Amino acid sequence: MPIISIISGLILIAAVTCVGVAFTDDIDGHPAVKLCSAFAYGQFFVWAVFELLAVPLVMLRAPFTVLVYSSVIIIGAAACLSFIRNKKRVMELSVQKTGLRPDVTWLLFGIAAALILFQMATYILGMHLDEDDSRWIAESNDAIVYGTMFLRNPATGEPVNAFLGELSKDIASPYPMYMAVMSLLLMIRPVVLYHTVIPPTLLLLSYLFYYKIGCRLFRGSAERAIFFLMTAVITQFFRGEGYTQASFSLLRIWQGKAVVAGVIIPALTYQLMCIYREGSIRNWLTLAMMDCGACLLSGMGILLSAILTGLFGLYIVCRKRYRELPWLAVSVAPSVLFELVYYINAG
Amino acid sequence: MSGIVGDSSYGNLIFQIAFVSAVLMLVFFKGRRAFFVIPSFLLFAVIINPVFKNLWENTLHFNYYWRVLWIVPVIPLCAALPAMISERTENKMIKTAIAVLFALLFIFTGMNVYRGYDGSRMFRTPADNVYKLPQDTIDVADALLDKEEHPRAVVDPAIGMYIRQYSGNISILYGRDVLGYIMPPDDDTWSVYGQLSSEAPDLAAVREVMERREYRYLVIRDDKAIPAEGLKQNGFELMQTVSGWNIYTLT
Repeated sequence: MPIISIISGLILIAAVTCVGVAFTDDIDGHPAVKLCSAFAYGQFFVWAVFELLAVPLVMLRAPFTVLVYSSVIIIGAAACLSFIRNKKRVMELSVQKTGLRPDVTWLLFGIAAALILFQMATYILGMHLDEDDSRWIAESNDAIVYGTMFLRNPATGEPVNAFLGELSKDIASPYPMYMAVMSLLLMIRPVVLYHTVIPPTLLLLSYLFYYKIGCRLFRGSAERAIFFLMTAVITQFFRGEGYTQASFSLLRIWQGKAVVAGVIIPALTYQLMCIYREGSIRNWLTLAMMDCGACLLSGMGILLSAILTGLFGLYIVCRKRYRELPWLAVSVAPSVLFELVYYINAG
Repeated sequence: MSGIVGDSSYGNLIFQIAFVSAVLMLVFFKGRRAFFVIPSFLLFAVIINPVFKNLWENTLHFNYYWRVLWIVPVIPLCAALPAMISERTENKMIKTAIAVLFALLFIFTGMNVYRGYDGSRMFRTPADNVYKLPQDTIDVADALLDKEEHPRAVVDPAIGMYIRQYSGNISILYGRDVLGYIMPPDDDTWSVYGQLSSEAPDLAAVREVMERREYRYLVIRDDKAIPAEGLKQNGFELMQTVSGWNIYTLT
């Protein structure tokens, strides 16, 4: 990978992390986890921005460059604004240090970390062919080469006059356009971004939210370590018929629906846990942002985020927390809106 | 051992027992952990329920009901079970023993995601290249791109799936679309697909479509028994042989 791509990647990570600082909570004491959390929330913000920008632009058949420039301007502005407003917290993230106390807890964390590193290395060093890629990666390629969004048949490269077949599904979840923009910014081919760069990053985010769930569930560090280790073990050995959440997380997390399985569902679960404890406006708005980000990834993201949030809404009603109902409506609004877009286009 | 406990999209028997045990343990807890109980029950009542299963399958756009199972919190709850058990003791060695015991249980009764049903490895390591695509496809694509910026080619179904992942500059007559994901395949596509899938393709039929649809290159396996006479007669000239593929130019 050329140096310039690495520099671009670092700038992008810094910008996304700056944005995410505005959304992070203080549950997790370890600075590394705080840093990852800020990046994770920033990533959700970026996905949400892309969803809100890309869907209308795709429907208006705007050139791809409009999406590139508008998204860069908005995310750049959000990063600057967040940095200015949260300067102190950003600086804290970069200077905090922590000492490790070698005991059994750290041994368990160490084993879990080794297993997760193995899983990440498998994505970096190994290759797994999946036929579904021939649609999304080709769509990203076409956007870069021809400057149009979903107006080429990804299977052939021929222009199409309408959003046909599976293209109609992608309008509501234009994840390939997000990946195309990222590959332009990082100056690498979309296929490299999909197959090599993104998977370990997403897997890390997946485990980050499992870790945060563990922190919410357990007070003791030993229990947290056991929980964390078990999530890594179960994810690797919960293959089922090959269509489980775990299989999608470890075999093809670069695909939108697999990001839903691997990252979105644990993240939403964690965020709902936060709201379960404290239905603050900040928590609800973060959930709305996550739901909106989930819509970018796939039709399953739209549907499953709505189901999860909706089920929690039933709980809110049962507990007579009526004051939070407007925020619940705000949270499911992106899913409802983009589900409508999906139905209008896909029929 | 995984054969004994079975395996499905719901996980094997051990995971199912661990999940139910964790939910039951959580029922007796109040406070933060009760979070998982209510949504789990609601989930089973509203979504994962034989009556509603048909409703979801028939009324919603997805034919993949199994994907809804992703939102059942199996991983966090199965992981929480040993942690909850270990809370009963203060002894760190016992806690570690519990963790090791459960880890071994999940490892030996579960099925490794990285193994296929036939024992094959789901990941090929090391990868053929940084693109994680078959190397022969890359070689063919590079050879085509050396000749033109936007080559238009008819390629064998075996590489048609991957070549546009490598470069959007290449246009092909069909790829995965032969299965009709974007557009139903037309007569030309069926005709050429049928010919290239056969051992002895009718090159006149292939040439006719290529000329009409303005495709210039033909990529077929080099071990395919095609008489040189037939190729020449139909205007195909061998441009290059790369990684077991012959690339012909339509003159």
